[in-house]
Amino acid sequence: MNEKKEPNLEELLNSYLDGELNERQLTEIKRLISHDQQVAAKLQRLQRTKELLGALPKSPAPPAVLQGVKTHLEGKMLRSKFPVVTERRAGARHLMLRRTLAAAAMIGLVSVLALLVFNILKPESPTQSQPAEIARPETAREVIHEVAIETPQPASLTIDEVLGVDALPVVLELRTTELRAVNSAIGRAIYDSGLLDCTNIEHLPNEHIYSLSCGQENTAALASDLRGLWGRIEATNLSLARESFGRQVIANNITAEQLVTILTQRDTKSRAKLAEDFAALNAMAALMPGRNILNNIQGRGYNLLTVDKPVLTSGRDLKARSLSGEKQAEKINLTIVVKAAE
Amino acid sequence: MENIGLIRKNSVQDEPRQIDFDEAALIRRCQQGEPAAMEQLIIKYQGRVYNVILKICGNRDDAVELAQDAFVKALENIGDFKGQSGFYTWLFRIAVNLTLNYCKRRDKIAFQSLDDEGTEQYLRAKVRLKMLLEDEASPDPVEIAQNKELCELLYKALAKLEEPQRAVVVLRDIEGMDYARMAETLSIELGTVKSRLNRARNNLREILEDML
Repeated sequence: MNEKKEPNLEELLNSYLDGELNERQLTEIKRLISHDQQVAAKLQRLQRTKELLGALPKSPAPPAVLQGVKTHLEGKMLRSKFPVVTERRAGARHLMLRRTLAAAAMIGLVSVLALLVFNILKPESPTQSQPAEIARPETAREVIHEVAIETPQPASLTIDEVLGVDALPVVLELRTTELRAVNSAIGRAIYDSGLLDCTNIEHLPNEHIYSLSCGQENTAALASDLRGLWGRIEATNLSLARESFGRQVIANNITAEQLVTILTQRDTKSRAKLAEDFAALNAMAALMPGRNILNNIQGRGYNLLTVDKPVLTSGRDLKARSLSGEKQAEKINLTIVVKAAE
Repeated sequence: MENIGLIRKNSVQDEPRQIDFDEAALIRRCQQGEPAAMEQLIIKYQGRVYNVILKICGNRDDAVELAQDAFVKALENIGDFKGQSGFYTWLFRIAVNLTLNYCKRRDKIAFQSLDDEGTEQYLRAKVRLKMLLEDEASPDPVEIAQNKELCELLYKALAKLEEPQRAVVVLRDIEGMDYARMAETLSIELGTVKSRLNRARNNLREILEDML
């Protein structure tokens, strides 16, 4: 819509009516009106329309106009006079605090989720993928302890002092009511195996400590010799330090066969993993219903019952770990702690 | 305040043609946040602002609200008023823009009307309107103001104009603003004011004739 153009006659007539013509235009229009009836009629039509509109009554502004503006401005002045700014700052601080807390909560939530996802997705040991492992109850998993090293160490004698720091220690704790007989048997076995030279023995009132730093084969052979001793043992506890600093695996109710198998593993990592598996298996065995039923029927105590513990059946992995494999000359630091059962 | 004392050309009706010292002082006091000065300024212009808005938007309640908004906006921003245009023009630019924007958002003008064209008074008003359009003598404003139905017809005709045409015709024929100020108020060229006003008056004439 192009509204900018040269003024036509009607526009000039309107301008004439509105007093917006210059002297030259005014003279020209006046001459035109006086000489042309049609132009005069047109002018009159425009003039009537203009006058009709101009004659419309002018209403006085309602009081609401002034009142409304005053109310608005007074409210604004009050807001600026009183410390609205402080309230805004307080609000801003509150908002900032809320945002910070929300961010902290979000970070915490993400961390927990990340930990959960890591625990779910972290690679498992080969033995954990076997059928027996799949059926393992949740409670059994809980028995696998990975805690900071707090296991009772032999009083006044540390493993490092006896063995040096070149090998990670394996500590076997045996609890028995026949302390004297068990001690005698262990001492004889050490002597018979020719391991006396690499053994440090310490006798305390209710505790006897045998610290061996011998070759892997000899240590395993000693463990094998101790099989007959297990009938007199109330409880066993095997703890192995892991490669990562300050962590260890604790396996309860370890059998002589399991101990031998562990000791014949080629390195510390393999020993720790196998101990972890045995810990799970032993825990599962403790939950097997046959134990409770037999105890109830026969009225015998827990330690009198012999329940066959499940064994790992995965041929390849265990074979790979077994002593018959390769490296056997590694030194093992084994500490046997014999304690009186309470 | 470079316009202080500057006498503007082209006096039409009762519109202020110069920025006097009193108004300049009043505006300065408003700029300093003096409530009494603001009140004086509102009282001075509220009638004219309200009437222009009412004639453009066609609804009394809306006109009150729009007039309030216009004054609030003007007084809140009076610090930005540098006196390059007259305060009157500046205020009307705000008011007219607010009203035109409001009309754009609204679907249709709803003039408060009797909306009863069949009554005897209404028919009589139409006859009178026809005479006024054809009569050579100028209409008597008092007579028109007293004839409610006649006013109603005129408002209806005005409402049928497009908003831009309605704005120019109201600013010129009701408010009595000169072309230069209309151009400034509506932010359009002077030539556009002339052509738009011409079309508005012609259209209005046709609308009125069609109503008879």
